Amino acid sequence: MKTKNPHDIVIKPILTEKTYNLMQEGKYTFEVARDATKPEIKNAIETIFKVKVEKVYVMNVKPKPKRLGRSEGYTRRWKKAIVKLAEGYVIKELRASF
Amino acid sequence: MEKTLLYQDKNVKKYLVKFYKEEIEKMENRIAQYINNNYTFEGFRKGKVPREIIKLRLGSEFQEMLLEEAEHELEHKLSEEEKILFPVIIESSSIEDDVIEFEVILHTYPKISKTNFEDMVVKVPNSKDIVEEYINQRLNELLESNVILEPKNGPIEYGDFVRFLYSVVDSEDTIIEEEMEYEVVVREEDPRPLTKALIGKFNGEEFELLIEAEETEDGEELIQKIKIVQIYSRKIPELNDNFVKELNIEVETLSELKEKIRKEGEEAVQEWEEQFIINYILSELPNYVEIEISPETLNYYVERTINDLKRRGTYENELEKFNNDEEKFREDIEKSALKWIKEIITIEHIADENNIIVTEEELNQAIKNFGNMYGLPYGRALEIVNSNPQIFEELVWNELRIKVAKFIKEKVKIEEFESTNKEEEKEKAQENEENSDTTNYNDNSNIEENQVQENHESKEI
Repeated sequence: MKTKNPHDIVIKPILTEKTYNLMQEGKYTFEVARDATKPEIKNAIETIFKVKVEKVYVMNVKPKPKRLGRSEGYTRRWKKAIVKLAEGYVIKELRASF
Repeated sequence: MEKTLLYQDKNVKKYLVKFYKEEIEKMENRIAQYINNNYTFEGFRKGKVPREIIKLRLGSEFQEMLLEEAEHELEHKLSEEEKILFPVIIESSSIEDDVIEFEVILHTYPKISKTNFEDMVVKVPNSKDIVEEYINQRLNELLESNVILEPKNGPIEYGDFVRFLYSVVDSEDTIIEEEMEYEVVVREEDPRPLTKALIGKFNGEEFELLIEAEETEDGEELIQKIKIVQIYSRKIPELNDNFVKELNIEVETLSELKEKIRKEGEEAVQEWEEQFIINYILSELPNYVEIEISPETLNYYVERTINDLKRRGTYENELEKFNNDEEKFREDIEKSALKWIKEIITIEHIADENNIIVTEEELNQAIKNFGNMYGLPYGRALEIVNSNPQIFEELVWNELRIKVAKFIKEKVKIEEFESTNKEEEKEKAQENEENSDTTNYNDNSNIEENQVQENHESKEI
């Protein structure tokens, strides 16, 4: 089976007040490919950021109804992954210093 | 902030300035606070974006803002620590992990090596002569204004008072002005053709006078039709106690009147003399001060001035005044720079050493005078001054200059000389007044001047 490119698995980091607070516990939040599995996410994060991942939590974000004037629809569905790093590791690209 | 002196030539100093982690963090917080107050970031409530996220999002732009903030901090702190003539010149800057470094050049106030105000001699005209002339002039004015008019039938002579009617018509006989009454004292020194034409005319006589085209507003020849109404001979009253009594003023005798005018004159002369001495001191002050100034400072001033003139497009015009000799022009700018610098540092130095400050009362008086000059009520003048820091600074600076000049006045020699030609003295005094304003090629908006003014302003107020 062909291995997936880590950059196809990790789509973008999620930076909000809530995820910023989680960062202080060593947990980083990302949007990931919808078909990515926990081991794939773990490997991708370890490859891209050169860190050690301790645990991965995933959740499928359900589409929310959205309305723009007369047209009704839904937001897109996506997969969120919260990655807990092993003690002593930080993703410098996402947090300079706390 | 850590400051290391790298090089010094008299008043020019080169420093290596470093900002460390703690100060950098404070600056970063200020920037973050500003961004938080003005912008929103997706995923964060307004004002709740952590500094690190802002840094992450803005990347190199944040670094640039940090450098800019550090430059402000640097300029602020350096101008607090040292008195500088020009804004801080930043030669290089670098930003690394926890250190921001700057290499800066400061043109500080040069040291005053010597002042010899004791050698300054202010020559003022003998006040007695001026007062005597003032008395004579006033008495003549009184006699002239109380002259006795007697109707006369004979021909008009010089010195007579004439009442006449005149009409003005153009070449096609259209009336422009009709039957206007006019009164005139026919004086020999009056150059108008009308007064010359009046000589020899009698009561009731009519005559015409041609007004040349170049003398009229429309450039059209006009004819003035004149009819003499009455001729009076003027008899100047005799100057004695009776004349004074008839004047109905507070005094009764001629000697009392003379004494009254003398007092008035003396007061006016005293005031004028004080002003004359102050202006003389201020204009001559740079010649009695020696300073240790680096040629670099003067060069910098010259370059800045020339660049400024070029930017404003007036360089060519200024250069023409020196027959396009750039060397001479530069010398002149250098001379004016030296004069300007000497005046500023001397006045500030004397003010600092002797605790001379401009009080609120004096400033209020200056604002009142400023208002009077432009016919403004005090409230409006105050409003203008408060809303325009440049005017405010100028008023304070002028007051300080005058106070310092009064202080120096105690040290200089004041000599009276016999006046021979009053007009010459008046001209001299006027020249002094003009000279007292330092020649400066830079206009009021000039940064250097503002900087210096800011410096002394913050001290005095």
